[in-house]
Amino acid sequence: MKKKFRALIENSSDIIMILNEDFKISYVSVSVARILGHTYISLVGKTIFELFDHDGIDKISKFLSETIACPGQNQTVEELKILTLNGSSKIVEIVAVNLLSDPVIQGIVLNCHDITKRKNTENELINTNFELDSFVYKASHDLKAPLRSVMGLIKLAKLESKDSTQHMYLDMMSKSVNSLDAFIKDLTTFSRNTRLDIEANIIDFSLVLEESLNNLKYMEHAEKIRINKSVNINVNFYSDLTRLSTIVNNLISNAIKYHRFENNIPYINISIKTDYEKAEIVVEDNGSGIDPLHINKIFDMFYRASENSYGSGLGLYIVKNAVKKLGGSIDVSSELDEGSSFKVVIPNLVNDIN
Amino acid sequence: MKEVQVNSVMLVDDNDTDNFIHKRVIELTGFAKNIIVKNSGKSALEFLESNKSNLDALPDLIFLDINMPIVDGFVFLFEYENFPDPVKDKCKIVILSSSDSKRDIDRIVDNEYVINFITKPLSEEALDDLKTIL
Repeated sequence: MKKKFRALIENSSDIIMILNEDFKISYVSVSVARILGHTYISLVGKTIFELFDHDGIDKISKFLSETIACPGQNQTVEELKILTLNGSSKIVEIVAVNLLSDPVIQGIVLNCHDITKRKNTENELINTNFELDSFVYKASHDLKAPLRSVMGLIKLAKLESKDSTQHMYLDMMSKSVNSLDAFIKDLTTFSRNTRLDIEANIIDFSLVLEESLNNLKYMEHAEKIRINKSVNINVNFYSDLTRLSTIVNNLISNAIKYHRFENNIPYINISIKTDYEKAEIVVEDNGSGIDPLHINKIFDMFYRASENSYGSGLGLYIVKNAVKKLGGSIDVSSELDEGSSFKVVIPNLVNDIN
Repeated sequence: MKEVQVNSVMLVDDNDTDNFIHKRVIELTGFAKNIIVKNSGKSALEFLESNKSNLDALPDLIFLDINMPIVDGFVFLFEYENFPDPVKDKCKIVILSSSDSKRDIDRIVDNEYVINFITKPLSEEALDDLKTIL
């Protein structure tokens, strides 16, 4: 039995170490040779501090004094640089427990798990994400700039011409260019949502709503729709403003886009209420509704559930992802030719602010 | 509303098409009498430098693009800080960019000489709005 345990420890991919109360190494598993190059003989009797550089010594001393202060309890420190025999280093995660008063062990037991590979992969991932973000930022600008020039030229051509046929063509060009512009915007919003961290700030819902309605007032037929707002804010609510605006914008813009005007007085009811835990945003319309055949797919990437859809099919996908990122949920109920109702619940990040 | 007459403006943009569009919109709307066009941040700075003691020759408004090679909008603003106060008091800066990225806007908004941020293309409405804050 004893042999079995010994074999288990010696062949472990972790380094097991026992320190005495002066932090001298009294035992180290032979796996140390494989991972760090040091031998059992060369380490026993030395203090553990010889395995760390200047910064590492600070961290490990602090960690060990915490471990000593809580006998019998497992303590963990992530990401410590430990020196190898040839002068390079490995990154380890250490779990330690103070068993100085245990009659059999009489020491502090350390389990050092080599996380160098994982850490390197993580760093590569961070770099790749950073590059990708810069790329999207640059690419979207370079796609957008010439498009904005075209928009400017169309505006100018309209200013300089009185010909109504020409105006009609220019308006059609405008519409195409605007939809490409909106698509580029969707792409950047999406990519930024995926990669950027959440920034919790106090949210002024009335302002968010007002800005969103202001942005959308030039949409086709927007002026024919009655918009009823009810905003009930009782507590300070914290969340990520950019993502929140994206969600509100997309839901309202959809409600405007998919409206019915025949035999109908179109309306959109927007209600926002908050409490200490969450905010509930409901956008409800009496528009064209969603076919039950499509309702499970409306949040899919590039899915367009309506014959009249002229967007890219990214809007609700972006909404779903933004809601997810904020730790919330979204539900839809809809009846074809009656209307739709989207309910978003997002948590108050009041505890995330420093 | 008080009708503000802008005497002279300077356009700073590396894109000649955009300079043409902005110049023409300003002409057609009669927003300003004189329009100085510079197609690089560097040549705009040189213009300010050589006229820094001749305030009459300086524009009342500078429409500044952000994304330009070498001296971009940020570098321009950094260099602009070093001009004497009379120059900075006279020439107010409006950012005119195709970017609507929060990152760019946040970096600019802190600058005390920048009075507005307009997303391209420059429109009649944007110029009307601009008049109200001059």
